[in-house]
Amino acid sequence: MVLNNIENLLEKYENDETSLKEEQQLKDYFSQETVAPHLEMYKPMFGYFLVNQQEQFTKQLPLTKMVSTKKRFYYKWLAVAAVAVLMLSIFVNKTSNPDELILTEADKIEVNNAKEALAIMSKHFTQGKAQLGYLGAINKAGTQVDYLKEIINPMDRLLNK
Amino acid sequence: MEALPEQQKMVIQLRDIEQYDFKEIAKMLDMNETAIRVALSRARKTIREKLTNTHNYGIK
Repeated sequence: MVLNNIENLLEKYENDETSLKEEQQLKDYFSQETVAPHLEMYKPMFGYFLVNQQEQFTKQLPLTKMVSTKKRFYYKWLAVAAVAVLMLSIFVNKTSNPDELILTEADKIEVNNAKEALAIMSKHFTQGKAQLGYLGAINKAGTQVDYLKEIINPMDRLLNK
Repeated sequence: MEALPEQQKMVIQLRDIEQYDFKEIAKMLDMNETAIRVALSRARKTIREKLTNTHNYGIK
């Protein structure tokens, strides 16, 4: 009965259908002193596996190397994404509202002061322009005085003669 | 064991000695489970044939 079971397990083992538990059963069976003569040939193999289970596997596997390659790949794309976000934010800030970007509070106050000063200047300029009308009248009066001089001059000429 | 190709040696080491399951081995070696089973089957077959030959020559 036990032998039948072992033979079945061996068949499964050769077809890679055994579980870890069943494989342990085989190792336990072949670790006995006496095994069925037609299965003798498996004894050293399972004996070897059983003995080596106690030892540590020290061979370097390529697992860590592959993980680091993947990490490097992620870092590369992370850097690309960061640069893209930075460029996009600079572009959006520059195009959205340039006035707010350039003018500080102090600048705004100065601009308002300049506007007020210009408004005052404009008011005075308008007043000055109105007074130019009076200047025009004075000029006109001046020319009329010249006419009077011409009228007076002939009279002087007559008197002198 | 030394006569086996490197990949088969690693697979049989991890399965029959270290006792990892197929999923873990596939992850460790970055191979799919089918490839692991194929490599393991070939390794076991090679070992069995070598042992059978040794056994028969011993009888002779």
